[in-house]
Parts: sequence; C-alpha cells; structure tokens
Amino acid sequence: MKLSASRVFITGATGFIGGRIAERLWLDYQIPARCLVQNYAGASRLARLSVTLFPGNMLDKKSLERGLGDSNVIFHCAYGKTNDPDLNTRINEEGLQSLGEIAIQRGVERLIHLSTVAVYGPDPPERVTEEIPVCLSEDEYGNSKIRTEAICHDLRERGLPVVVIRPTVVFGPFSPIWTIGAIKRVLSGGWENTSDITGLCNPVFIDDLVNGLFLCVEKDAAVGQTFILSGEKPISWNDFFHAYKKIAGIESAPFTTDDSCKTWRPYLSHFLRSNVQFLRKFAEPQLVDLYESLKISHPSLARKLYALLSGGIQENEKGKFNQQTVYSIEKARTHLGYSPRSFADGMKDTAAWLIYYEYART
Amino acid sequence: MLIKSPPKNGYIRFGIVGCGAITEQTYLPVFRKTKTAQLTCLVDPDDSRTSALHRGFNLHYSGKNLDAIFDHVDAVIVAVPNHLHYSITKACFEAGKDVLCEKPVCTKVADGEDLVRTAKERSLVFTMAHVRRFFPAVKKIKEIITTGTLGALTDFDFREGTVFSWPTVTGFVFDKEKAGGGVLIDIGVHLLDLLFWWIDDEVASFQYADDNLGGLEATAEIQMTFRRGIAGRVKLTRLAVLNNFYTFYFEKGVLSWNPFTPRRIYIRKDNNQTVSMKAEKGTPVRDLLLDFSAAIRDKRPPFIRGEEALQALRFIEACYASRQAISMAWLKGGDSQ
Repeated sequence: MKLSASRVFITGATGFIGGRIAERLWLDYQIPARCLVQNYAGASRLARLSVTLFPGNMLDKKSLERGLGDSNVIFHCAYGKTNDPDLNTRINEEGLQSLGEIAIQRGVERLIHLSTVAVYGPDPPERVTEEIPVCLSEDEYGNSKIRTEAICHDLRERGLPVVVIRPTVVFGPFSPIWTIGAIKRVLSGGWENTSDITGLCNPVFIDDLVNGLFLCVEKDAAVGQTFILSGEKPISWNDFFHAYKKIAGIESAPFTTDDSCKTWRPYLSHFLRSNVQFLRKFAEPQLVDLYESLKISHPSLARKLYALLSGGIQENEKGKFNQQTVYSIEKARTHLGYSPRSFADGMKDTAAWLIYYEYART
Repeated sequence: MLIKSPPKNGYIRFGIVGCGAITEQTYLPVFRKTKTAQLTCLVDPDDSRTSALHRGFNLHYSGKNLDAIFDHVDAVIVAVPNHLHYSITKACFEAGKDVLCEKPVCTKVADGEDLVRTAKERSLVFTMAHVRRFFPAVKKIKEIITTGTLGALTDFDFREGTVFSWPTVTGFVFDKEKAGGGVLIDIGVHLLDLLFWWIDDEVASFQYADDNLGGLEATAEIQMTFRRGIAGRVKLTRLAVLNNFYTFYFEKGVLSWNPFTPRRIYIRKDNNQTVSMKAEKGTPVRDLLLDFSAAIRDKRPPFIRGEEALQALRFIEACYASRQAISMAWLKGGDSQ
C-alpha cells in the first residue's frame, strides 16, 4: 500500500519516536497525522506541525475512536510509564486490545506496533534474530512488551494487518535516554574509568527507524511479521559514549584515575548524595540557587560536584555494557529493503541538534 | 462616561474570569494570603473548574455568566485563553470595571489599541500581568542600565528555554487561533516586555526566524538593533533547557541574569572578576495585585500601563509577518540519508 495516500493515526505521538513519525509524515508526505495526546504539556514539538491533536489516552475507548477517525494506518507508540505497574499493564495491554478491536471494526489496513529488543530478556545470546524465543525476566517493561506482542498475534489471527517492530538503542534528536541522557551522562562524569567495559551497542538512528516503519506500511510482505530494526552495524559502548564526549568537547576525564582517588571517591559520592537528598527536603530552592551560582563562578567545580552526585557506571549496569550481543537486521534488509546509515552519519545530525539546543557547548 | 463607584470598605473587590492553571496556581494563592484584596467572583464556562477553585473563598458569584459579576466587583482579572482577552476585557470596560489582563494583551495589535483607547476614554485602570517587572533584580538591572554604572550598554544575548510543562487545562496554547502564536507570543512577550522597558528605545532593524512547520513555533530566534545602536540576539524555545541567561554587554563589564533564579545578578567587570549580587526575594504577583489595587484607589496609572504592553505585541506581530525558517539540518525529511 502507498503510505503517501494513507490517513495516519499515532498513539504516543508526544513521545520521541511518535513525534518524529509525525514530523516525517508531514515533511516527506504532507500527511497531517491524527495524534492522540494524553498530556498537552508534551505537545510543543507536535504543535509545530499541521497535525490534529486529540486529547485522550489508551484506556479511554471513546478517545481512541475519535482519534482514529477514518485513518487506515496506525503507528502504536504509546506505552504506560507511570509509577503504577498495574496501571502501566492496563495501558499497554487493555489499551492495545481496545485499539485493535476498533481497528478491526474500521478496517484499518496496517497497525505498526512498537515493541523492543528488551523482549529477549537481560541476557540475550550473542546473535539475536527474530526467530530467537522471547524471554520473561524481572524487567517489567520487557515482559509487558512480550504480552503486547501476544495480543498483536491474536489480532493478526483475526485478520488485522499487524507488524511488530523491535527497535534497539534509538538515538538522535529528542532521544531522552540515548541522546539527551547520554550527553548528560558524559558531561557529569558518568562514562569514566571504562577500561573494564568491552560490550557492544546496537544503535539505530531515529530516521532509520522511521524509514523502517514507513517501509512496513509500503511493503505488503511486512504484514504479520516481526522485525528487529537496528543500525548499520554494532559498535562498542565506549565508541558510542565517546561520540558524545567528542560533541561535549570532553578531552579528558574530570577525575584522575589513580588508585587513591578510586578508594575515596565512592565514599565521598555516597556521603554527598545522601546529604543532598536530606537537604533537598528543606532547602531545595537554596541548593538550586547555590548550584547556579557555582556554575557561573566555578564551572569546573560545579561539573565535578555534579559528577560526584550522579555517580559513574553503576555495578548493576556493567552486565548490560559488557554484553556482546549483535541484533541482526537481515530480515528487515531482505523483506523490506531496509538500509540504515552509518552511526557516524546519524551522529552528525544528532551533534547539530545537541549543540543548537545547548546540551553541549561549542 | 460611566461613573465608577468607590470600593466598599476600602477593599478592592476582584472577580477572576477564567479558572485555568494560571488562576489556580498564580492568583488564588495570593488572594488567600492578601488581606487588602478580596476575591468575590469566579467565572468560567466549565462548572467543574469554578467548583474546584471556589473553596475557601466567600464568593458572591461563581458560574458561567460574566454579566452576573459586575454588581459584585470593582475590578476584573482576565485570565482566559489569549483569543478571548479582547472581548472579555472590552466587556469589563463597558461595565466600568478596571482590568488586569493576562499576557499577551491581545492576539492582534488593533484589538490591543482599541482596549488601550477604551480604557483611556473611560478613565479605567488597564494593566498587564507582566509579573517579571516586579522582580527586585529586574528593577536593579534597569537602574544599572539607566545610571551607566557599567558604562553604556552595547550588546545583549537573551536565551530562554525550558521543556514546556505548563499544566494547561484546555490546551489552548497549542491552538493557533486561540493562542495567536507559539513560544514567541507565550514566553517571548515576557522577555520582550522586559527588553523594551530596560532599553527604552525603538527597534531600528530586526530579523526573525522560527521552526513553525505549519503549526505553532516552538523555537524562535531574533537578531535586532535599536536606534541607539544597541544590538542583540534572542533565542527562545519550548523544546529544551537552554543556558537560561539574559546577558548584557556593557562598556565596562558583563551582566547576567537568569529568569529562573531571579534574585541573583552576576557581574563580570574588566578585571575578569565575577561578583554576584543577591536582590530581595520579592513577591511579584502580590506586588502586581497591590499596584493594580493602589492604581484604582489612588486614581493613578499602574506600574505597567496597557500601552506599554502594546510595544512588545507590535514587535511580535512584525516578527510573525517577516518570518523566516530556522535552518535545522535535523528537521529535513527521509531523503537525507
């Protein structure tokens, strides 16, 4: 089917991936997407476009019906990220079930469901394809996505043309974890002393992911399939974070790495963190005021202090950053003609965006 | 001309039209604490909002009907979506009531000019909620510029950006017709009001660009030069936290002020030493209300006059009329790979 002739509904449109889908639909095809908006506070990015915002949420069936309208394509990016696990489960599972029912009734021609490679669990094998079984774990996010994939399977059985996408580490403008989080991490000294980190990262640039999603609409061969969408090839986690260090202009570690420093730093970090947490309850405005003053008068000290407060690589992160997993995109290449760019190419736009919005100073 | 009745018992009786987030979070807390101003009426088309907000106040009226409040108020705070500022303020003036209007004064300059003219003809007080002018540090900056403590002001660089998180009840800020614009009219109006007040000059030339792609801009940039030669740059966004400083370059030093930590002023003099001055804490919204009340009681102009607000609005209208697109490589479409 032709995406250019489609009418599109996006759930989770105020998020990172949903927002870029809406932008690309408008920029590439002049498609004014219909966007489900749970909270207007996150709608600034979307509101730049000629889109229609529909207030509502995944548990409000009427808002789903209203938002879907006469759309024949759905990009389902919404997921529950409240502090209430039960509510998240309902948003993810009941919400998708409702959306699927309405989509079947209305004859929707494609539902693209955003899942994740977290469905393979915390310890995936070294080469992962779509054929590898999913794995329930202690990670409720991954578990919930496994259950929503099962719902997609049922909807598929009932005739809804569903495609399931498992993106890897999605970076690029507005990426909250792998771009904004990554640059903040390196700026705060969170990627130092990494000689024992040897794992692989499977980054995918947001526009490549969106290209892949659009191909799932264009290519009939996508219907009923599951695809892993990653970048051109894996790189090391050190290369991934060093790309951000380069953008941030960080040439050397903010801390010395000699043994004496290693000994006292965790104690100092813990002491500061616990005391700041305590003080925040009583004097948060004063602390913010003090930190803002320090940023002006002693910027280097302010950065070091922030690094101590935020900590470096945590012990419980080392497993993830030492995994040697490669997520294969062969199926997407073969079935969809998916052809992602290099990591370096994706980082060019990412760097320009980070610098423009002052996450990094030139 | 209507004859205004004097405030009863020396108190100014206020009505608020519009029960959205600004009323709930900004005005009501002040009315709860202020003895000299009395809230008597709330108006909103949504009954659930008036019922949610009226608790704790001894109101004469709480409901949908604007006309029903005029017998019970001396002055009105207009806190409705931008596109309604004109019609509601005009109705209040026609009923002989003084008005404190939320920013921007209107979405169209012609409407704003009509309001200023009407208030003048009827000898009514018309002020704007440019609360930042009541920050003590803002007044201090004005003093430094005016007295030439750091020599003449030559350049400025103002940046203001946060990830938009205002708990808008109606979402009107994302409706082109209702909001009148995006970040420029929303946040920019505060910044420009201060800039024009501080510099007290007319703009000689400017260039404006934003990231509007058919909706409302979330990022805007202005390059501008004033008649006296002061030149500068303004950058605004709703998409990211910028290095939020208003920086002034004087002949003998640099002054920086952060609108989000508004008590501090940082001054770097020629010797490269940075000193920080801490202004008083201030109570801007309370001071705005007290100034409005005093202007009504003493029959004097308010600190922020309606016609002053028009200067920023005129400039915003000119910016939108001459809009160019910001060059953003990351915004291009999928053919870029």
